[in-house]
Amino acid sequence: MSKASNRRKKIFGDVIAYAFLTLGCLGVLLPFFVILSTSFKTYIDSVKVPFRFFRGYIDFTGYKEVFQMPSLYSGLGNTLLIVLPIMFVGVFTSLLSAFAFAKMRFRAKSAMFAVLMFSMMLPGVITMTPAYIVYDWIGWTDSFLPLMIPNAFGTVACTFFLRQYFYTIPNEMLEAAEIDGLGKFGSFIRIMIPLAKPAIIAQMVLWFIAGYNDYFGPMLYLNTESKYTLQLVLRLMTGSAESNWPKIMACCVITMIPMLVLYFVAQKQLIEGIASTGLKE
Amino acid sequence: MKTRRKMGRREKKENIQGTLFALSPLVGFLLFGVIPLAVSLVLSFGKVKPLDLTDIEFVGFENYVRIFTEDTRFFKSIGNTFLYSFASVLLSMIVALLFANFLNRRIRFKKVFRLILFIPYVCSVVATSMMWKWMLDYNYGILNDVTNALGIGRVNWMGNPATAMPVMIVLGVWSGFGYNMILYTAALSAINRSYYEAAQLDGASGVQCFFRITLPLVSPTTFYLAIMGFIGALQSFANFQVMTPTGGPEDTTLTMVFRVWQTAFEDRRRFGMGYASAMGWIVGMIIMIFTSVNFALSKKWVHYE
Repeated sequence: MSKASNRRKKIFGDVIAYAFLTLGCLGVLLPFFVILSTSFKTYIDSVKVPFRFFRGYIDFTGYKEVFQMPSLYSGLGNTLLIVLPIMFVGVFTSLLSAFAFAKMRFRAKSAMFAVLMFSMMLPGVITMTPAYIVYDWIGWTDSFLPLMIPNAFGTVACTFFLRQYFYTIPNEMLEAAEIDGLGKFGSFIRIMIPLAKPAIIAQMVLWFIAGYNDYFGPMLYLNTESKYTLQLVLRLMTGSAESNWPKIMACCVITMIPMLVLYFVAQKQLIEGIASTGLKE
Repeated sequence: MKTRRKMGRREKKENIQGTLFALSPLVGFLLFGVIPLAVSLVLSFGKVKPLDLTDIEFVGFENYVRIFTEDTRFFKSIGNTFLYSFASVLLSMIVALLFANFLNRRIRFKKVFRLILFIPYVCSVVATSMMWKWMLDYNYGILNDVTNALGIGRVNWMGNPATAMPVMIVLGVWSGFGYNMILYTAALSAINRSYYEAAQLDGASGVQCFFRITLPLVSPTTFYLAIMGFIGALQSFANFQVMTPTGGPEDTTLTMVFRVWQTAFEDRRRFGMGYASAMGWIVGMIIMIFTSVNFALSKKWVHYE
């Protein structure tokens, strides 16, 4: 085969790649353009057909109305209250567990790890109904507790990921620390946590995004409107009789922006963190 | 040779410490996984007054029998869920692998493409569902402008039994392929280039290279994505509940978990928690059996180097 034909093949392949990637990006972004466009329209224009992306003006009425909703602020407050404190606790307990699984020797290790593996394969749907009953029994329903306490023990996914990361840290680091008189816990705090910083950041970002976006849990356990999280507040907006589309879309935009900003800022850690999850057992 | 010897003091200490350190997620699983699991198994054999665990009348397998003989909506939901899962999991893996292949070429703007394609993953189910709902709106949605222009006329996307599920599948792919793509990109970049060079010297075409080299070498990733994808998709609920709060036209978008949720929380008085628990166990069993079959089949097609 000649060099020229190889070159032609490469260029042809590149053109196809650019075409598909551009189309894919447009497909992903189109809904965002649509909601942005609607959110800056007046109500009258938002229901005019055919749809037009721009009608020559920018109207902030939708945004104003959303910012005047008290539930926006209570929703944000509730979400942060549920997610943030437990994020630190849960990532810490996951870290400690991951450290033990990766760097320590104990008899029950493989048995305990097998249980964790099993719990990941176990479909959560079996426990949906009974968990509710149990929480109701101990008076936890319509409170933040069912959304917080279970996560404080650490999650399996987080533990697996951090364990994977700890494997990449050489044992000599720990041995040196022990010679210096640090115990296991001491070297975990002083040596391992600082070394695992990128992984910890990735896990915290993933944790926060998952918690912020969670709809299922709050929907199941919270009944009082003042306790609603941001996602429930957003969901409730379509429930009302007439749909004020600019307002709804403005609320969509406002609630999505924090996550998008977080994603753009932490994308490197986030994507690398995710990329390393599926690789090895 | 390995011999079991007595542990020294240091080892004993490490044994205890290690167990304690590792314990936390297991305690969480025990308290919030195993205990409800046991409770639900007991409840599934009884009739329970709404939300009063102490008032239980044991009825043997009656709940299970009733589900299997009477609950046609539940049966329909099983079919719906498997249709959705197969279509959305397989399609999003195919799309992901395709895009990962493109991203793996020496091209420009790689990071920008990747950044954009992954966006749906960080957006909430509620927000993305609502924006799609708006685009699919019967009266004002942008998609009906397109169908109008094409001469098909307006389509009642979420209200028509023929279109509601396909829309859900497209939505599932739209929001799910980015995650798969990231994992595939990592797997592809780990493949040794020399395989391809050798194949090219032997005159293999690009398509042959893909099927003979790429596909087998990324099969562990494919397997992981399939296992986790199916476990997730078979439990789909939130996106369906936001898009079609009642289960869709003629129950075409009623999923298994949706049905469990309906019986446990919307129709609590009619069915009771015992009945809902039994249904939860059936759904759980279906998923676990499916996962085991997946594992068993994997020996035939997953290649570990």
